[in-house]
This record gives sequence, structure tokens and C-alpha cells, in this order.
Amino acid sequence: MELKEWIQKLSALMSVTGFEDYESDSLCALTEGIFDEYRKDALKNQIFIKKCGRKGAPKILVDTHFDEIGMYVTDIKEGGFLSVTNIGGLDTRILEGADVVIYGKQPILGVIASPPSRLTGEKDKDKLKKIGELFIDTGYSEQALRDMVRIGTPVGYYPRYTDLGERFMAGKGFDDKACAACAIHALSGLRAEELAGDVYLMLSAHEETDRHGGIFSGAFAIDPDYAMVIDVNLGKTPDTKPHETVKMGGGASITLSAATDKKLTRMTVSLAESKEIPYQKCVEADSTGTNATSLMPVREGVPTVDVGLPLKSMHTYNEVLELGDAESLSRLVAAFVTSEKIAAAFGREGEKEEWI
Amino acid sequence: MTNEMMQILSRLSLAFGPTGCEEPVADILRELGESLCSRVTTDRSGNIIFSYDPTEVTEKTKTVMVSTHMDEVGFMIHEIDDEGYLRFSVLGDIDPRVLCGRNVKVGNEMGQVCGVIASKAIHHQSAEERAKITDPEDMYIDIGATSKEQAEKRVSVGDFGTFDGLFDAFGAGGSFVRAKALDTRACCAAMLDVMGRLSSGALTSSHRLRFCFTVRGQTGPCGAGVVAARLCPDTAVVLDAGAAADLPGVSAASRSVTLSSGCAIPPVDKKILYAKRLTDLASVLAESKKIPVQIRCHPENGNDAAEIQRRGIGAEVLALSIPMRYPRTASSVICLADVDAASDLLAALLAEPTL
Repeated sequence: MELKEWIQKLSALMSVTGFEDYESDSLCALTEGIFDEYRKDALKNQIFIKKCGRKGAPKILVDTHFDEIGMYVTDIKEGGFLSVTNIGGLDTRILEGADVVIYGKQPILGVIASPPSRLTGEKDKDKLKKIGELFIDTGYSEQALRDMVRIGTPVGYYPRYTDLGERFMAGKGFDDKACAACAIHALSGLRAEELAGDVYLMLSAHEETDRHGGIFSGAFAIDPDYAMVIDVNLGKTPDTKPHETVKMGGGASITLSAATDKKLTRMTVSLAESKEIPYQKCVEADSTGTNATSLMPVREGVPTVDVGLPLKSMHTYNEVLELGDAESLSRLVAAFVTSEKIAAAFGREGEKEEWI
Repeated sequence: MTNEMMQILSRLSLAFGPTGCEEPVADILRELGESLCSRVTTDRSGNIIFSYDPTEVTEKTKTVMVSTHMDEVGFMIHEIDDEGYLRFSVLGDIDPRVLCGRNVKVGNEMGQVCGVIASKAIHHQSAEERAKITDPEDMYIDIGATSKEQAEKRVSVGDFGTFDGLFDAFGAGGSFVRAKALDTRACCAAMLDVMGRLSSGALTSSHRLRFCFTVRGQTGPCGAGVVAARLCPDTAVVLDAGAAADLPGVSAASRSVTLSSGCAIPPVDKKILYAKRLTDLASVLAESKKIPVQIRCHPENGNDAAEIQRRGIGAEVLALSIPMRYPRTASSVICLADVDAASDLLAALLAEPTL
């Protein structure tokens, strides 16, 4: 399957934080034949394992979080309306008028709205409404809704995909499922004997709640020799300063940070250089803002490199990526998991303890 | 609503037709209307007029103008910046709260490209910025271009834009629809439905009927006024959509009209006092034919109707209004039975010799 199709397919899956495995059957069907093993843990981390076939080989962790921002139902109102709260850093400015899907007993189409300000007093005319002041219109009666929806039912953005020109893609949940797509695409093209170790692709849970919940236990169970964390990286737009962002179309980003492994990062940079993979450096001095910062101190410490996919309009339902950047990222993942040099430098000696 | 009419509504809703660039939707309306009426005129403003004359015309035969505008709210590109982003002005009364993040189409009558309205990512917003509505001036349309030159190959300053909404069944049993531009296009569909009844012979009228699909109803120099000046109608029935406010947080007294309660009849709007004789006639007809109607007491703009009333020698005007939630957004919601009610009531009125 082409990389673009992987991105479209994974982005369309519903995976609001806490419901990362909601469509795991579809995910497993899509990835059929690429991996040797699939595991899911208590936190809904989903781990796809591709073995290299050699005993005592290093365990390489590739982490992309699979949860996407969304909402939970907080109230079912008279007239068939729902109140919601956010899960993850929702951009409240884009909510009014947005199409959503309520994942109750069956998926229900909804529209986020609020009463017109001329009917509630003009004084709040210029104020941005808080999420609690908005409601979702479903067109169903209150009773019908009560049969299908409960407090806590997840709500996600309407899955929609758009091509912007020839090279850009717009859609929801690219953070971070576009990165998962790049990783799966990379691994789908590799034979076992090409791998420098056993590859554990972890689609981790609970990243968007800012607690980086899934990565700790997931990585603890895997006990990797070294790791690559892949997350989206804020792309340059006209309203940002250059040092705050990475360039769209500049290739995959490699993070230079005090919070990640310096040596592994340098080796990843050299790898990109030697394979002529387009990349750009990005400085996040004290924290990467990704799972990498949380992964580094797991167990006795996991040497980690943080890489990223440039993404505009992050945390909206029209996140925008450049296909060339995604291609570079996919190539970088393939180069990383096949690098004998990195395996030699970071692989631990002897038999690995099996925790899961 | 029949499947066929639903298809027509879908086609009209998805069509590109912002104020000042109505050609794409006008082409569809002409194509659909020409199969129902042989006499069609498009005037210099772009208004389309379909004419039906009764078999017997006397001096007393009235001219009845049935009118709705076909344009939708939208945007106009006023600048393409060095990085290929489009800065835009708003056409029509769009609440800035519903702009951010939306899918849009940008272009003109020759063709359009897809884009999304973007602004500073939440990660870069200050606490202050997060609490206030983003000014449309701080938004831009991303069409996937990386330079001005690249963008200019696909769009130009002065090009138009609309929401790129989807058309979906909504609510229990698909009794509602969620889509863009329903305010005007649902009225267009209702008028086409009545034209279908005339063309099949299911409806006959003793009046000279003029079905008018007009331009620039959302903003700018109103097309309906131009048509009224030309036709000098005795009577005009104007179709529009009215904001339904049967929503949480709105008191019962402020709810104006409600979805699923039938076609609304306004006695008055901000710019016009409607002909009492006609509102009464509509109410009586609705009652006798068991067509659901509701009286809309909360005045809307009434721009088209006011223009028609005043232009030429003046006309008696009645408005039929389809209740709609979330007007002028990418995701408006209407009840299909309300559209049927509007079309049934319009047909009943046109059959009435006293109209």
C-alpha cells in the first residue's frame, strides 16, 4: 500500500484518547502479514512486533502515539443535544460549526453549535465560547439519544480527507497517526533479514492528555535497547517565528535536545546524511514535548532519538502535512531499524529478559 | 420528500455559488428548470426567470413573482502572500466563530481548488489569544502552495470562495439534512418542485407566474430588486430560510421558529411589513389543506422581500420561510418535511385565484 493511502486509512480510524483500540480489528486487518505478533496492554498500547529471526538481537522500539484529541459526552440534554468536554488540547476556536461523530451504540453524525448571541444577550458577541457552553446537535430525540449514548461516550472529528494541491494533505488525526503510517509503511517494505534487531512498533496510548501515560508502561514491558520516538512537529506558518517551527517540505525533523540521547541523535543524523534522506534539525533544548522525554528514564534508561513530521494547523480537523516530508520520515525509519552501526553501538550484550 | 428532490437538493447545496459568482449554481438551476419550463430568460445581472402563462390571459390576469436568491455566503481573496497563503474578506454575514479550520473551495466560475482556513496553531497561541475569537484578518487559506508564484497558478486576487461542506442525512431516520448553503438552495429545490407540478399538469394557475432565481441576496446590490423592476409583479411570494432557535440556552419565548413544525410565515421582518391579506390567505389555505405552518414572530433581515416590495410600482409581498439551524455555516441543518410544507403551501397559493 502506498504511503499516502496508509496515512488516509489510519487517519480515518477513530482513536480518541482512552479509545485507542476502538478500531483495532481494522488496524490488524490493514497490517496483516507485515508483523509477527500483535499485543495490547491494559492501557491500550498496541504493540506490533517484527522479528529479525536472530537470537539475542537488540530490541528496537519505534514509538508513535495512536491517540487523537477528541471529546467526551458530559450531558444529554432536552431536545436531543449533547454537552461535551475536551480530551487533549483541543483548539476551541475551531469547534463552532464543526462536524463530529458520536461513537455511541452506533456512530451518530453531529454538529457543534451554540445559541445565537442575539438571543442570549449581545454582550457575549465577541467572546469565544468555552467548550462547556457549546452543544452538539444530533437531530435525535433525547430518549433516542439516551438509548445510544452515555456520559463518557467519545466524540471525534468527522473523518474527512482533502488533497491540497499535489503535495499537501489535510485531515484529522495526522497527529500522530500520519507518523504511525510512515512507520508501518517503512516496516512493510523490509524483510526480516534486513532488520538490525527485533522491531517493536508501539502505537502508544494516552499521549494527548499530556501525561504521556502509555509510553511508561509500554516501554517498561518491552525493555528496549534503544528507541526512536516519532511525533508531529509544528510546521512554519505566517504567524510563527522561525525558531518555533520546522519547514514544511524540509524533510523529517531530527530533534537536538538535552532530554534525548546525544550519540544516538548524531548517528541518526549521519544515517540520514549517508542515505541522502531529506531531514532538518530542530532544537528543543530541555524537553521534546513528546514521548521521548518520558521514555528516556524508563527502567535503567532507554537511549532515544526524537524525530518528527512537520505539520501545520496541529490539533484541528484539518492538520496539513507535506507528502515529501512523510516519505523522508518513512525512509528514515527504515534506515534506523536496519542500521547495523546503531545496533552495534546501542545493542546490549547477551540474552534479553522477556517481561511480556 | 422524494428521492429525486433529495438528489436535486444535494446537487444544489454542493454547487459553488457565492455572492457575485453564482454562475455554477445558476447553470444547474437552468438545466433543471429547462426540463420543466420552456420559457427561460437570464438577465444581465445573472437572474434566471422561468415564465408560465395561463391559457386565458385578460387585463385582470395578475403577474405573480415567486422568488428566492441562489447565492451563498462566501469569501473573496484580497491578497496572496509570499508563502502562498490566501488572505480573504468575507462575503455575507458569517459569524467569524465558524470560519477557523473549515474546508473551503476557492476559485471562480471556471473552476475551484480545495483549501482550509487556518490560523496560528493552539500551541503557539497566548492565553489571551485562546480566549478570544480569532479575527478573520488573522486567518488565511492554505491551498498547499509554497510560494506566491505557485499559488498564482491556481488562484488570483479577486477569486471567490465558499465553504466546502458535505451533504449528509442527519438525525433519526434521516429526517433532517446537514449541509452548506441550505438557506437558499432548499428554497430553490422547493420552487423547482412546484415548477414540476405545473409542468406535469398536477397544478394549474390562473396567474402569470414568474419563477425567479436571483443573484446577490446575501450582500451587495440585490438581484431580486432588478427582477421586480422588470416584471412589475402584482404579487410576490418570496422564499427564504429563517433561523430556528429551538436550542439549549434559548428561552421558549425567544425560540422564534422550530425545526419539524412546518413552513414559517412571517408577518413582519426588519425591512418589510408583509401584506396582511396574503399572510392570512396562506394561514387559511394551510389549515384547510392540513399543511403544517408556524408564524415567525422574530424578524429576520427580509432584504429580498423589501426590495421587491419597493421596486417598480410596488407589490403585495408574502414570505414563506423554511426553518433552519446554524445559517451561514458549513453545517446548517433543515428538516425535509419543512421543505415539503413550503413547497405544498406555495403550490396551494399559486392555485388560488385570489392570490
